Amino acid sequence: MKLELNKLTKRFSAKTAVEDMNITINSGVYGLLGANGAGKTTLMRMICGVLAPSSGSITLNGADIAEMGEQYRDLLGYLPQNFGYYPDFTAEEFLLYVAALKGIPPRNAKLKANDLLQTVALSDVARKKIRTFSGGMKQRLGIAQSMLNDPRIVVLDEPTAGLDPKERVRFRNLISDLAKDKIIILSTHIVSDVEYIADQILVMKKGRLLMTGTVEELTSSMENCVWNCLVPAREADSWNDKYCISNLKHEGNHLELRIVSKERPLPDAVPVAPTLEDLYLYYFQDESPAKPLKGVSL
Amino acid sequence: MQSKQIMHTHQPGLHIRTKYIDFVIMQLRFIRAKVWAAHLMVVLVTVLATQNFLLFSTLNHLQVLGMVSALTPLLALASAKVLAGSFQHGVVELEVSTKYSLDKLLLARMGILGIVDAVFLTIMLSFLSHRFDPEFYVILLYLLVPFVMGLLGCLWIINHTRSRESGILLYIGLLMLTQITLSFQYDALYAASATGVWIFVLVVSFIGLIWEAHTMLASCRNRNVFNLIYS
Repeated sequence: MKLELNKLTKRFSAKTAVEDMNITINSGVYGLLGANGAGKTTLMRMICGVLAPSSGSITLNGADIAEMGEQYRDLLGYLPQNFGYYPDFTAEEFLLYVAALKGIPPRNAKLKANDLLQTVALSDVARKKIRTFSGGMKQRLGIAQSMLNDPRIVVLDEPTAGLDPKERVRFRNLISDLAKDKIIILSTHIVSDVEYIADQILVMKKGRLLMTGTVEELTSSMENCVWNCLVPAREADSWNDKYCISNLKHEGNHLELRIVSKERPLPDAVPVAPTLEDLYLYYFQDESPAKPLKGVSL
Repeated sequence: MQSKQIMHTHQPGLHIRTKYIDFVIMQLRFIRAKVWAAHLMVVLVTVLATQNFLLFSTLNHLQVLGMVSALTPLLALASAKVLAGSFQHGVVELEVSTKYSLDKLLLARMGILGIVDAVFLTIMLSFLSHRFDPEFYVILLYLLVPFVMGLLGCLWIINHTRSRESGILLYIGLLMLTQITLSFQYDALYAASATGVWIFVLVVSFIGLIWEAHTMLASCRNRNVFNLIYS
């Protein structure tokens, strides 16, 4: 299965939200990383057919998804960033409602809904109205509805928002189990959500694809560019102005800084293994165009 | 979450899909009971009016007819709230991405509510035509015109504004108040000589209603729902 984005662009009046995106997506888990306003949600909406592109196309196995229409949407499972629901519906009713929209016969829908409620640990509250749910419970319900039709393409926009750490780990396990023979695209600000499960990371900035690769490929580009060093606490602001600080820890009167920089910031700075979070923080520390680290190729 | 659970559930026929007609019928169960309750209430008031019950015993025939006629926008309100529900509760984005997309869902709802409204208007018409003098088709006009005007205004508000809930409530309230006031002040509104005006208003309102319904469905089909998302 192959999803191809060909010169995909989306403009809203004066603003270009997604610009000239070219990428081929095969089966596997894809993590879409980017700051607010990078264009992730717009891209996901176009992939799901919610928004029409301004130019370019999206094809599945060579066929334009706009022309496939209902046939394409039958393969799709989508969790929007702003997951809406009918507050008077119970969790079970809502899943049956979405199942009807997905064309699933009532008997199959009931079986599948019960399964999914159990999977996302909402069986006990299946008959309760959604408006009584916590944010995390609503999000779990949103994840469940995206899986109703056993989709071949799963698009999850910020799926772990509102989930506690234990639920996030369970969610990662769920995605890993489901990923076989499916395309799963999930966007997040939480790097650890994708770091361990994504086969490929797509980094977006200002509507463009900044870089793409496995976690190892992306982090290896920052080898010998991440340092640990100890500085006096009173110098915190000046170090923050000079370097990209990916972590800061107080050690008595000193600060242990984790700095991303091509040059060694201090003679006694110790090089450490880079993480995806270091890369993310470096490229999204401000809204100015990212300058590649000297000598680092993308 | 028990991820392995869903990997091993055997569900024969998992990839069978319903036909559109089955989808339409299934939508009946998702329209809330309060919608039907609102329809029943309007019919109940009609029955009470025709039996000279309580307040209605102090009014003349034309005033009673005017009062009942002014109630039909409530049917339009109940139906419009169902149509606005997707936009009101932010479910549009999800509904656009499913097999039976938002335009097919709205068409199903329009069809169901259209049939239900027709049935309830017919019930009202049968009670009123047995009780009051004007011809059958004249009473039908008195019921249809405020109903269609109510529905037209509600669809316009849903299509063109973001204040959907408050907008349609305010509009229907003003429409009903206006008609009740006119009914009590101008008997000529229900005179035979005014029938031509009622027919004209009905035709214009109906054309407007078809246009707004078409606009709603076309916006969904063209995937230009971005402006319709979130009230």
